[in-house]
Amino acid sequence: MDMNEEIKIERRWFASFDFKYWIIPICLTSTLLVLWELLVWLFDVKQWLLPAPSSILQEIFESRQLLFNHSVTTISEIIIGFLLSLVIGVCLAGAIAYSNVVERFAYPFVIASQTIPVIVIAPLLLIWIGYGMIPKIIVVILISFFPIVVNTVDGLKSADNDTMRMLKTLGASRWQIFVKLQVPYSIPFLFSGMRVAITLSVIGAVIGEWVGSSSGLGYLMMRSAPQFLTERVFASIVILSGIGIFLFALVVVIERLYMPWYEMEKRQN
Amino acid sequence: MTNTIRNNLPVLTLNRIGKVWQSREGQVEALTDVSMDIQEGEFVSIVGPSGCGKSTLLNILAGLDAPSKGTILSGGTPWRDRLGHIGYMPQKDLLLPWRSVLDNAILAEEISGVSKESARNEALKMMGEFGLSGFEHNYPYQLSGGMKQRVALLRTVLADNELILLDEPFAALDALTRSNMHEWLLGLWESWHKTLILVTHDVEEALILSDRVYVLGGRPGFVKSVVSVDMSRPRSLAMADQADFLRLKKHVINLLKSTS
Repeated sequence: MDMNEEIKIERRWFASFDFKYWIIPICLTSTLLVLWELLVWLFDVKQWLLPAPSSILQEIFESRQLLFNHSVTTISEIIIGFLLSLVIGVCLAGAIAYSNVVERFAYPFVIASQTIPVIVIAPLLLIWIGYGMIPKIIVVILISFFPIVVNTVDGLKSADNDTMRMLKTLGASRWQIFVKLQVPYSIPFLFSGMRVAITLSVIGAVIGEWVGSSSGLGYLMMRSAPQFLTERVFASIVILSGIGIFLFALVVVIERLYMPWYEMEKRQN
Repeated sequence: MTNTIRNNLPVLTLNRIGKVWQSREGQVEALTDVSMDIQEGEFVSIVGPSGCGKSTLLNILAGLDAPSKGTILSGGTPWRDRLGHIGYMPQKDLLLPWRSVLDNAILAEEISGVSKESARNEALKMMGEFGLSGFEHNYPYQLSGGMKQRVALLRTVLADNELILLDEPFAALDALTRSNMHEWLLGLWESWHKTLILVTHDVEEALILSDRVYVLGGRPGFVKSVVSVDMSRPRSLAMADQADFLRLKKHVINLLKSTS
């Protein structure tokens, strides 16, 4: 028979990088920064009240060693906490999706853990565990495991019913259906949970540091504010949001490299 | 009928199958009193209007749903654990998007515990016959509709069951691709000697491929008539223009239209 059927052309995802798409956000951001600079200069706003973007930039450059040292602490807390909550979240989600008994036992606790504000738990951790990195990591885990669990459970449970029946006709057991269909099916859901979790991890680490610590960007902000080193507070914020954006982008890149089929399927449907 | 039909008991017997669905509004009867005998090596089609319970019947045969009434036998003895022992190709290709063509094809063997390595080697030998050479390592999103269907069929065939059920496998394809697939399937089946049951609403498709055609009536589904297609094998699509064939086609269409 005729094998010259039309083959859909494969396009790599990065080929779709569209410069036009970035023009608007870049213009908007630079306009706002210029406006900010002008207003500070025009109304002669005091440095301790609102530093101009240029003096924040200058501060970042001058205190780069200090900022770097504190960043290392914060990034470590974020990454260790995030990876642990990934492991815990995935295991918990797997157990919840596979067993109704586990679901009934565990899910209420998972939800209850989110109704207690982390800001309340953090001082308790300080009392029980003390200063140092561990209580911050625990705060990161507490705040970031939830989106991972909820998304992964959804993914595991929403595998296509027709495909499930097809696998049954091939003789698949419940466990085989779980491993060969439900788990791979849930990966895109897991990644969208991870994207939320990584940004929450940044917040978690800072909250942990605010409550009590001796290093980290959150600590640096807490220390600089009473001294009216406002440009240093802003510098910390800039670095922190840079870290958040970078880690978020990293998750997205891993996602696309790990499952190129997902983007393509999405585009087809 | 020229294929090897041995003079023993049918490989599949449906004895007065009935199916009733329970719904909130009450009971819905999908099938009533469906009886069939399928011989080993036979190619049998089931045609009927949409909503006549064709897919329900296949789901029961495959062992996915239990009949409300009646029994299913093989070689004269009741056949209960059919799930996993009858090849079943559903309407949609249902390929796993994260698996390559090759790894989709070997699913059944993988499930039965064959090592991936040897399953892949076996599947690679079949790629040419299924028109998939050169696409072994492509992903479903890179394939055309006809190719996806062929991967799905290869997956079903590699499960290596004597009896294979096909649920409107070509319904979603364009006319040209569909008739190419008919010719190709004819060639495959004539070299296999497997028992095939094809569900379709395309009368011409049913007649050109099958030894016998079961014509179903609707709501609830029942067997209206059985038509034997006494045309020589190997068949070709050109036979669809012969007078005998056209007469038979008209007969089946009239059967489908009649309201009894």
